[in-house]
Amino acid sequence: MLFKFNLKRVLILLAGLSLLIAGLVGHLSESRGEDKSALYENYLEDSFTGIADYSLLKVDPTNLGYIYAVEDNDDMLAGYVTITTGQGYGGLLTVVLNWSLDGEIQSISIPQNSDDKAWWDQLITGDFFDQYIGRKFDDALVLGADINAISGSTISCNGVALGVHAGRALVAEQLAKPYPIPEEKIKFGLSEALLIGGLCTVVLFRMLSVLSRFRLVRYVTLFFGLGVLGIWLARPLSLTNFAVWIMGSPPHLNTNLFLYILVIGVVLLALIFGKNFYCYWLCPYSAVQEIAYKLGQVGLRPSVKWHKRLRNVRYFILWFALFFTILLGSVSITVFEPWGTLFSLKGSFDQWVLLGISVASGFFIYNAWCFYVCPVGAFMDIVLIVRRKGRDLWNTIVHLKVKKEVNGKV
Amino acid sequence: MEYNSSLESEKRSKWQGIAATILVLILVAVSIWVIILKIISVSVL
Repeated sequence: MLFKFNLKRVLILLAGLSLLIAGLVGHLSESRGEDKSALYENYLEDSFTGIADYSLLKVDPTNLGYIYAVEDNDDMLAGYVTITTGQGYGGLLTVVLNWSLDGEIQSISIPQNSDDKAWWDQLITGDFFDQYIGRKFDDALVLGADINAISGSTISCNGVALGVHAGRALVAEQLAKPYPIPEEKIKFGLSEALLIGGLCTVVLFRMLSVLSRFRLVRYVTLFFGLGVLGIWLARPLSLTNFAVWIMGSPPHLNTNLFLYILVIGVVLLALIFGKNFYCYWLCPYSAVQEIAYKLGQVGLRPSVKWHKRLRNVRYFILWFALFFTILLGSVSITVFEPWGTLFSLKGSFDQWVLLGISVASGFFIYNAWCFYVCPVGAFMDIVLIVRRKGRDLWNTIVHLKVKKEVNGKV
Repeated sequence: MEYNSSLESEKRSKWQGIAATILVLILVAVSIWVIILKIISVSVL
């Protein structure tokens, strides 16, 4: 028993240490490339064949923006190239823009991005980038108004748009001409309101003892989650949503308020009330598995001993995905859960295979994915464990303090 | 007779447990395979 206890602690310690080391190694390799000019010059040469020579005009350290003057074969100034970054779904993406002398976009390329390929490809097939060609630096370039976002890949589109805006600011400064600065408004819409409503309903259902006795209430919120978070928005809580925070590149607040409410709301509620209000209550994939199980009616389940063992696999998968995400600095590694493929109907071959096996196992085993694989559930369990340990530690400190005071009086 | 039927149901539940465990292990293996493919694609890029 003692050995088992120690082994668990050793494993937790090793997992924590390995994540720290991965972070350190990842940070060091990133620091080595802090001066991006060498890398960016490769982008210049790869992206534009007609460039005879180029010279760096300015570096904007606030958004890692670079602007180059480009010369043609006759040593004449032919235009400008800006290389900037924007926040995509899986982290920063690099936007390379070729501008004419009067500030018109000639070409756009994205040599580096961390977004999932299935979603990213939608931008290419949907001709998203072509919309920027021929636009001038002083056009509004507002996503959703002047530039159409690709449905289902809006966060990636927004990342590109942020990079373009940073690039046009550099060109405007170079040309010493003003441009319309888009209004930075936080977008609060129906999806955000429904999410808050859904979370509040789950809290009410679980905290009010009158309601929590009825099993039916869980199905109400579960199917609400399936309809809103799954089928309509295709934005269930994913490991990626936590990983971007761990990697220090949270989504852009103004255009991603929904993700802020989802991530911070679920974690904050867990810390306040000591309960996970998302898993089994609001998660659309949990609803899918409930439906599959009802249809299957097979009722297989591992023995109690194996159930306990297999439950811990979730922590391994969480660690495995996070370790390589931190080490390689790419959040796209965490985009593997089957709900992304199911609700967006986009995914690579292996993601479709995982979805198929996951749904098929749901016919035989109750909530197989949630119980044995889901990294989001594992993450939320860790949040609850940290809360409990923190509270225990606080109680111990208070207890010791009271004891000391009593002893002092005696 | 009663003894036999309880033995049979015990046997059945044991086999069901093994089948469930194998199914979960397949699900876990495929999940890890998908993550490894992601890691490879990121490393190659």
